[in-house]
Amino acid sequence: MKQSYWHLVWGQFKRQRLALFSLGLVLLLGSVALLASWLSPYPPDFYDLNRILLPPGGAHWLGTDDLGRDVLSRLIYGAQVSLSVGFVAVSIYVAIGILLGALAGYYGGWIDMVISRAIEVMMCFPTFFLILAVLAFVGPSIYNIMIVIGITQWTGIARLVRGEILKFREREFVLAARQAGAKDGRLIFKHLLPNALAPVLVSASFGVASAILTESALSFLGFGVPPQTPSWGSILSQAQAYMDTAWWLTLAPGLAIFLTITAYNLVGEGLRDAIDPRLKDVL
Amino acid sequence: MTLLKVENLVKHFPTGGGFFGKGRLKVHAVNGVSFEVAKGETLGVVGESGCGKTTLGLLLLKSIQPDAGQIFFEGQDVTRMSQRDFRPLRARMQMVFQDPYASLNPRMRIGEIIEEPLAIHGRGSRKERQDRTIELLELVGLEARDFNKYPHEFSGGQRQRIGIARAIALNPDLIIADEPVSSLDVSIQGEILNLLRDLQKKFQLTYIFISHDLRVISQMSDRIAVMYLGKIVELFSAEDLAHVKHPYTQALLKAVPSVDPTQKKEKAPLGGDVPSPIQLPSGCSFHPRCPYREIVCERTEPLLEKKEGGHLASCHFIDKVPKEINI
Repeated sequence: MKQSYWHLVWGQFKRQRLALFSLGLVLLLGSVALLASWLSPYPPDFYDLNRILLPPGGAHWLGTDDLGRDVLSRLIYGAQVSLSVGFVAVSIYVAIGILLGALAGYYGGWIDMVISRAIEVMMCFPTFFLILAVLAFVGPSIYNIMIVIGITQWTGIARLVRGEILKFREREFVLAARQAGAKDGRLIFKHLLPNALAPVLVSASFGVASAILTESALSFLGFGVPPQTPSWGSILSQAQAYMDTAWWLTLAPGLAIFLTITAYNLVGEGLRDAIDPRLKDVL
Repeated sequence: MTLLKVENLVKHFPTGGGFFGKGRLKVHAVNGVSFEVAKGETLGVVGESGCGKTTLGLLLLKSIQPDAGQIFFEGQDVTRMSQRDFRPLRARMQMVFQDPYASLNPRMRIGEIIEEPLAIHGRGSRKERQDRTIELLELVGLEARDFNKYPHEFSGGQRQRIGIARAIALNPDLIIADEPVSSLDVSIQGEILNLLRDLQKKFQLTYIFISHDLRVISQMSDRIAVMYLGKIVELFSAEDLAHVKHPYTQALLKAVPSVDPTQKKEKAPLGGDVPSPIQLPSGCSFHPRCPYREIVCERTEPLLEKKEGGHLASCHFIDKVPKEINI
């Protein structure tokens, strides 16, 4: 029987119903976003001024907005924007965090000193306002949001990876690999990082949730994607004027954000429980 | 032929004392150690925990750099050699570790672990390396089908076999075994020791066998070096175990538990603990615990000198110490 670490983690993860259900939801949302052009009943910016602010039902399952656009279609395309912001932003900062964390943890000395101080300085900024300020300069677009979130949020991952590398650096298997002639690159990428990856994955899963929320908040405040681009935040932002008359306009994107964030957080939590305590005795 | 020779090796570790006091206090881990190991021989290094055995092992492998002294491998001074120049020599000295749970990467398959040294040094094609790995698995008493398993699927003893297979993969000359059996059950210890002995015969390996357990050391070694607080206090041929001269070695011998429960043992002859390696005792570092000490022991450090029977021992009063002891 071949049982890799990730098999064991999956075995533990499977046992947690809520986490498994959330993972299903995450995958479902992902496929909806990928298949948006097939699934959505209307193009996202198709408008019909004769059919504005229609309540849910009939040809428009979730009603229409103030320009007569189909809310469901915009929500489906919005998933594309929100999820891709989440994924790309998190990928950027996980890459930066792993790189800097690994350098700091492995080499120590002045490299660690410089990177650790940079982390501390970065952590002193209230990131959300930093993002707002930067976006005010470079202009709101979905790519700028991804990049700005990416280059401001890496500190957590960097610290995490640095700590994990420090934990494993003096383990005997690393010493053994060094004795076998392994150079720095092999030690870091083959021996140290694979052992540090599990907590990074947990953190990234929470990170996707928080990046989606940040994007929504930015779009809601008008610093996010341009208004014609449907994202959950921008839909919500435009809906607030009609909150008292057209409840479906706020409820639909609000619920989408809520469910997505909750699902990602639950997956992260499930993963954290799966990798941590019960596996300690086997590995 | 001398394979490895060490002269007056010293390693101090700076310790705490806060930001300003940094470097003022030092742990004297290895404090002037000299010995030679001949090819095919097993040198046992024994001592209590904290006596510098493990540091000595790391120094020999050039995992850490000594503060003073020299290391010669096949007559070549490797002490100041750069890591790059040392690489081909490093392949010829490998290590077997104490903790078989920490010494195997939990994310790698057994095959990859054993093959890694071969892959790093580019020995043979992929196929040849795999064949060699399977050969090694069988050599240490595992099976070819274990190739794709992960470390956590094995017991401690089996993991130690995997560690040994990795150590001999590159056909090394010297193996440093740091407490290779002390974390295993006694029944498994014997198997691993036998495996090490078989491999030594088959491949003319030279061992430096580090342990706190004099019973294990005396089974494995041709010569035994006894370390106390970073120094060798006695060096003798293993057959001479009954005639050890140094009071510390004698105390160690008396502390070995007897197999016969009816046999009355003298009470442990050593009082107190090992002194702190940060502030070494003056004179002979063993004097605070020595039953035969006199004033001179507190003042002058005895040298490691040739005594009768070819023993090297560092003690001012060898003559006062009993010539023979009951084991």
